[in-house]
Amino acid sequence: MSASVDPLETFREEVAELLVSLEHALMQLEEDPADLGMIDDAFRSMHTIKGSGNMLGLTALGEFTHMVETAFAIVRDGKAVVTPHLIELGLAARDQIEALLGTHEPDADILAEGERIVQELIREYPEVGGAPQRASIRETEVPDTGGTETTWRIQLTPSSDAFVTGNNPILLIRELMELGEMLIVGFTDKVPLLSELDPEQCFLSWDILLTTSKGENAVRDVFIFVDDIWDIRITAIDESSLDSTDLDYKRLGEILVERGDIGADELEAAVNARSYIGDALVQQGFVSPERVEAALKEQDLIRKRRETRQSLDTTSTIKVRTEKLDTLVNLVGEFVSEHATLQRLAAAAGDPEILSTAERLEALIRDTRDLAMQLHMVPVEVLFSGFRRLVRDLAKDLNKDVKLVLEGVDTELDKNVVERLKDPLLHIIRNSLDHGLETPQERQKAGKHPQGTLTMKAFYSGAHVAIQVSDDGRGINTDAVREKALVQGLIADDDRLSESELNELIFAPGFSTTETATNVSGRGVGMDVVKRNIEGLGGSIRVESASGEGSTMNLRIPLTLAIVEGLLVDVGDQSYLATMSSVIECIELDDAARYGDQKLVNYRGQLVPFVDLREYFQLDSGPDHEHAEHRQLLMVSSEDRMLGLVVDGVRDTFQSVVKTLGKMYEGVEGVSGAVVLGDGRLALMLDVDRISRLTDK
Amino acid sequence: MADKVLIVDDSVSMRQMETLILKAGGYEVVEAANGKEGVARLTDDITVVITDYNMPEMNGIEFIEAVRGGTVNRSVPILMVTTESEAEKKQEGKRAGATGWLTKPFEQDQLLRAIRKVAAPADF
Repeated sequence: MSASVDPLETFREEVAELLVSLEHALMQLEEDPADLGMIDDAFRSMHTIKGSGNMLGLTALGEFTHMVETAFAIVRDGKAVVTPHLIELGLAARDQIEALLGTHEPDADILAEGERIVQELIREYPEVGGAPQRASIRETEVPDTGGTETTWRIQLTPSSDAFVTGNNPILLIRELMELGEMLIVGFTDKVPLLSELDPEQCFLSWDILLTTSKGENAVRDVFIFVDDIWDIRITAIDESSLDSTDLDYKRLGEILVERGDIGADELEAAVNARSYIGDALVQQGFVSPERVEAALKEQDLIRKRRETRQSLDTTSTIKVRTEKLDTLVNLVGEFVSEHATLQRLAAAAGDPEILSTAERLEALIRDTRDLAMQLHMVPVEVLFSGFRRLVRDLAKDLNKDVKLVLEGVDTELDKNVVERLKDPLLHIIRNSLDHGLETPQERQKAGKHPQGTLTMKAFYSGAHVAIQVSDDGRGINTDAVREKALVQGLIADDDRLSESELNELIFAPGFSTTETATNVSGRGVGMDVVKRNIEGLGGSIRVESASGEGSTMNLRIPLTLAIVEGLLVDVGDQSYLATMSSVIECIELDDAARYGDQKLVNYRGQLVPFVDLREYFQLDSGPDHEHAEHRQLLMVSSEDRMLGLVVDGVRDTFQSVVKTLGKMYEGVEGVSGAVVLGDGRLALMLDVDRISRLTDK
Repeated sequence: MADKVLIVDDSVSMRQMETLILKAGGYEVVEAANGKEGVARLTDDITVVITDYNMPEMNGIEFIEAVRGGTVNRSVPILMVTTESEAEKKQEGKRAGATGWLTKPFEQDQLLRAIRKVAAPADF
């Protein structure tokens, strides 16, 4: 035997030995065609060559040997007899295997010989042709039933010798757990007293409620090695495709009968006992408390699942014409102004009843307004995806190759805002394609990928929705901008402008850098018009550019109407909301190793700056200052960077319409809006970007 | 101490490949060329057994039956390795007391995953 550690080399030596034994077997069979031992030997030689060959990736060898092996298997199983022709083919196959192994890539002659042998084997034993094998490695994939989720009740009672056969129930349960959400109740009622316990035997059983979208086979496959030895009952008890108008699942008694825990007679007896059915059954000794608990859990699970489904069903089914929504929003607006009048009159009249009615009315109107605004939101996807075709056609006209990447398309914006953003964005995209992105040839010369990328990204940023349009083109030519601005008299000769100030000049009225107007961006409408439109929406636009690397247009659209989801945190006795899109995670402040006074934490091996919001907002340390060890570190991301915010506590997620802050808060930095909490208090929205910029200094 | 795997296979190259994979996965390996040798080499410190189906002297099924009916480490998890053409032999292996199976050819990860699955400590 060889000492080689190269499996391929070992395999060659092994095959050489196997071919000797194959040849020997074939010669013996020629003399005694009925020698079963020799047939088996021949088969096994082929079988080993096939198996190991496939493992080594020698698929041509594996496939060929498989065909020959099949012929010998047919003979071994008594379905055919050994003929001189088979022996001749076996010998030819032996040579063929040697040839296949001797070359890296078999030439035409070798392949033709292989084909001849296989064809003759098929003629002799047609079954050989019907057994093509897959020599390649494949993973058994569990088919997903496409969204339909079924809840299975799996009653698992392992055989008492389960541990002896190495089939540990826990491992199977873990495997089951990978299929979906699981609820499990274990039963120990069969476990005998310790003095009588045989530790090699299994006395446990389980009830498992598994909700999965993988089909029944996937569930059964877990138990394939034990299903005829163990007692396994698998029943579908709920399906997501079921009509979910009926929220009520079966009654406790019914479940227990269905599970076979009690009989119908026993149920009847318990019903007559006039106490809780579960208690009655246990008291009368019909069923163990564990089994009642399992049935109750089942009842609860199914009811919850159906409730969730029903709420999903209703939210997804109503369609309303947009004009109706517009009218609703307008009507609500009128409500608000009429109400202001009412309140003034009520205050003047000084009647407390009228006043309190007016106050209650205000709350109702506020809720109605919030609701109407929510109905008016659409995801920016509606806006963004409309540009796909434009980018494609424009790129073609300009002989450019451009990929459009859309990010954050779920971000919601008021429908009216979306409509008013269309033209400005169109203009920005045209500019990017026309002036920013280069032709494939130019890009290659610059060492870039020939295909340019235009990215449109939307995300919540404090009280705004930020929309970024970036390209990886040539960037703004600041020299050209300066020259043009000089000619147009926008700047003076001795003005010293920073790079970003120069970039901002493209928004100056009447400014246009390209010498010749193309039919794409045209002449006339410049970036100044874009800027005016955005500002008309109460937003802002900034440009960032790096020569040779590309430009980014940063739009900030006010969120007065947009809904945000955020995490509520407490600092002192004030609540703040951090938008969910900015939150990475919350950790205990202790967990983070601080670096002295430097306000840096070691976060997963990275040094990240942090800001103590108590200090930042100059808040009193509050009553729980002594419990400083309970303070939390909220990790947030801001403009592609990370930042830690130290807060006193983290409460909950919160979804709401954001309100812009009134004049009172104008001077407050680091907050950008407010939301009204359930108890009527205000939570301020953290302007993470702003706070982050502070740490730069 | 590293877990010990007993490989029962008549193919030297197959054993070698499995050994390489298992050693890279941090296991100790004991080899046997057929069922008979496998029974002889099975000791109480073996964590998992992988056995081929088709072997001279004593095949995989007979081997599993011998282990389950024996006295040494009789509840050790046993993985049966079969080729695709032997798929129907799984039932036979299951009846004999196999814990699981693996179809040849397989990749490194598949072998290690299968072993980890049956060898996981039975902590409750």
